[in-house]
Amino acid sequence: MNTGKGLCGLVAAALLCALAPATLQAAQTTIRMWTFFNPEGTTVREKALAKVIANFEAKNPDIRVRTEQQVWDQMTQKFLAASRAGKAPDVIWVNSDLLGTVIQANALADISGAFTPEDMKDLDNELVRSASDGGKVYGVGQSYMIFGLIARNKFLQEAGVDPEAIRTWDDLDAAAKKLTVGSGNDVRRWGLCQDLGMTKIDPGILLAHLLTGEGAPAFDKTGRAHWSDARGVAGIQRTARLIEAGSSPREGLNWTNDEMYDQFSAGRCAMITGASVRISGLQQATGDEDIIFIPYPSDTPGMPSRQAMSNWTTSVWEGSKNKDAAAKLVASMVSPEADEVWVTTGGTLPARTSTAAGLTDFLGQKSHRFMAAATEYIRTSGWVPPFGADISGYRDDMNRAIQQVVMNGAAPEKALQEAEQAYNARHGY
Amino acid sequence: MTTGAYPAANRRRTDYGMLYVAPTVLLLILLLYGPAVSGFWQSLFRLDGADAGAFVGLDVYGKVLAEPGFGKVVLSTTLFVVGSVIGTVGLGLAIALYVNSLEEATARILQIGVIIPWAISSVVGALLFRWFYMSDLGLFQGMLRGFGLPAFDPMSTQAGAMTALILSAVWKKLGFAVILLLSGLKAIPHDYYEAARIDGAGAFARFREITVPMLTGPLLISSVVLGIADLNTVELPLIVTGGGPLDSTTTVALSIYQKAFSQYDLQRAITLAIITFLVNIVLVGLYVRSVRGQSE
Amino acid sequence: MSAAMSRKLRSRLSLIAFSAFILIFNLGPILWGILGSLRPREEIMRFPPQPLPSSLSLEHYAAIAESGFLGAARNSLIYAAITVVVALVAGSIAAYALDRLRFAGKAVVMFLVIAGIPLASGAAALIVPSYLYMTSLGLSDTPWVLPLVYIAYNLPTAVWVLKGALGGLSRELDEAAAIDGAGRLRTLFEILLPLCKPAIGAAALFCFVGAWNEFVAGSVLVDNPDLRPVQVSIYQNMGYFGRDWGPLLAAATLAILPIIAAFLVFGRLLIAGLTKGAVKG
Repeated sequence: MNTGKGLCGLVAAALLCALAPATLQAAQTTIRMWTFFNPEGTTVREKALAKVIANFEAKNPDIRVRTEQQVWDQMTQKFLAASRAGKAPDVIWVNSDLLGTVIQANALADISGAFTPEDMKDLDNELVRSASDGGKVYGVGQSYMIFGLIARNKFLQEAGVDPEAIRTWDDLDAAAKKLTVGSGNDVRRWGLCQDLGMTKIDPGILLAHLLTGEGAPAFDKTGRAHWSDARGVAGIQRTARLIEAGSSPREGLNWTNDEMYDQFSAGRCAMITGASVRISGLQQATGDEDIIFIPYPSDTPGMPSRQAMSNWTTSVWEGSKNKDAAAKLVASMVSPEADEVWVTTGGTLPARTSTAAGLTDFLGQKSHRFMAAATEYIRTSGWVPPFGADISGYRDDMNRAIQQVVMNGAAPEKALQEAEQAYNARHGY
Repeated sequence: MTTGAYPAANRRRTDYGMLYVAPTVLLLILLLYGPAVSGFWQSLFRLDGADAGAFVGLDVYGKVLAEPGFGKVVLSTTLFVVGSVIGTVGLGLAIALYVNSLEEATARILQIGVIIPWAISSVVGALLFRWFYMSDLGLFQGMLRGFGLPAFDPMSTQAGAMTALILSAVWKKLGFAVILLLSGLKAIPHDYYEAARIDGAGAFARFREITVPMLTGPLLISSVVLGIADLNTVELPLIVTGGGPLDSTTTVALSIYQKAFSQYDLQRAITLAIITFLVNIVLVGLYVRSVRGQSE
Repeated sequence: MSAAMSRKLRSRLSLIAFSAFILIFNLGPILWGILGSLRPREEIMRFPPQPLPSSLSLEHYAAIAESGFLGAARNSLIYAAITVVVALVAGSIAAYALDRLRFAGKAVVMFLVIAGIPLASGAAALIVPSYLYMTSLGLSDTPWVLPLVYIAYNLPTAVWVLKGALGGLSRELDEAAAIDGAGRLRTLFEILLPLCKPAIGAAALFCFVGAWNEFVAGSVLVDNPDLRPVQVSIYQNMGYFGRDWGPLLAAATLAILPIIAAFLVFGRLLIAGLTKGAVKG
């Protein structure tokens, strides 16, 4: 009897304890957000995210944000599955490269109501436009980035190479040659490293060629590829020539981008074909803050090559029960205050024109100069895939063509044709 | 056979048996077989696009099998699995024979040393293997250079990359083979060797006449278990070679990963996973036979 | 005399050569990784590689301690402990039935168990369907989902190892117990299993290592950061912005410790546990 009574008391106490926080939270909305960041993490971007969320929660005491960190390369696919199953989070981060795929799945909600026209004007760029359709806005982004040349200024100075003078592709060849230390089997440092492997790679010289100058776009409106033309051939030949000349490593044929960044960190590469977003990490890994960002050269006088840009678009799930609160969170993550936190604490590129204008001093500092250079490159030459087009996997196909040419001596035009066909067939064109 | 030795007790209350295996069977069906069956079911319908949910039956199966690169994937997978199994079991047997000849305490320390790569996570193991052996930023290549040997770059040729991938699998799973084979060796009664010695059989004759036949079961079992594990591993090709160059190390497991997470074609990814699962079932058939063979 | 001496010398030398091989071939990458976790950030990737760091630093360990690694390690310890206990209890009863009893459907059950071993190793390929399946069962993102999945992944191996050991025990033991009036389960738990300690140790080791090292299910089936397992926490240092080698190596190093501890405790039993019939006497 006694034990029974005690047990009842225990159960009641436990119930009470379980209920107490629930009643306290009854007035609150919890927003689930999927991102690849860990808000408890120690990297600068993670600290920036924690700060932005804390500010949002302070301003909106009725809304809590629960960040559910995901493994980044599985996140989008898992989101699509969760959306089908009706269990997706309220807020999702989508890499802009995959935005078309996600929009096609009808998984994103229109959040235009959370922004004023002034906001939209301040935020306006190619990527925001590519997430909008007929007045509907499916997301706005942060962590803007563009691919370009990343270099240790120290090595450039030692070799007497002026980064400002790399304007044409031949300039790049010459600079890479000059920057290479050693030769044959005993290269101590390559002039320009490229990640030409088959998985986890960045777009590089070939895409820069395909996007620049006269001719049909590399991808048409639906996302269909057009690569086997004179520009593509020139791009492959440029890539191959750098390897043959010994100023770019043959090993690069099987490097992921991470392998390339590691080699750069080790001082094995004076320049790499990389992403602007990696530079702050490279500054830490090398202990050298003087790492600069150089736009891809081109053979059009006075203009750099066009190159792919991307961001992480923050969006609201179409099936969310808290769409308004979620849209509020998305808007607050690119508010003028938040944007400044992202730039100054997180070292990311500004999403708003006004932020860039307000932080000119900060962006002029030696360790932040790359941010100004990348922001400018995005403005003049950033390329975004056509709205709603699914271009997933194109990088692997392009590198396969490069490997065919460098390793098997295939004719560039034929290799590009095969790659283009493989890509188009996979996408059902 | 052995169950027949105790027939009276076994025929009494036969209903107990199902009751005893029920928790295990339930867990396996619900959590291991359920997802596989549900995956097969899902693969029969269109997963995305405008006509999502439409029945497509085995259409996609035909498309996946007819993909232009599929033959090369099958070839690479076969090369990888066969090469890794031969390497792992061969080297594992040599090590097991040697460790078996050592005294207990020494043997135990060496066993732990051998098995650690198997016991760490595949992602970390693959990263460390690539860095230490295959990269010029790793100690191994640094040491070779220190001895004045030429730097080597296995990754930029197709044969070299496959060799590197196979070596990574041998490195990762060697300890598992050693443990299985060592237990097989320990199970061989000492008297057999003594008797053969008295009969005047030399060391090689003893190995051929006693060790090899007695070890057939463990050799078969470890080959099949390792083969299945190699067939399904995605971490090694993903991290050690990335599938390249020119798809020379794209195994079927990596191909599934690429379809799902790089090409965003979940439909084909699931379809290929189901096909691979069927191949697994065939290997399991082999495995069951080898287990039966051993227990006789 | 001198022949014996030279044989002894030869065996000593071969032992040294063999140990060196193990140390370099097997353990080289791991020791190199552990050393890397103690290097200052800018010394981890160097050319040419530096065998010894200029100074030892614990900065990376401090960083991961702050960012949720320890909570994830605790989760995984709990998951692994539950996996070991449940897999051993359910597994030994099933192994007993499969070894000692006759019942309808036994061959099917045996096939389910044996086919489960490779299926568990290939489960990663079906991870998105599995996610949908677990979600439809209402299991995704609950505290039970990972322990349950890990039990299912490791149960087949446990049954297989335990059945092998039980098969090596004489049936006279059962008979004697039955004469003493012991029921089947009592016979199993009080008489047979105590004689299978090595096999139990081996099975426990397999289950622990399997649950501790699992990554794919852990990365997909739970969202709540409080439920995250240790391998996912390690992997999070290889994010979209690149590999953060320092914390990555520090986390990986700490994750090896429980494995080594498990091998020190149970490793002694491993070989004996797998040696079928070794306890037959």
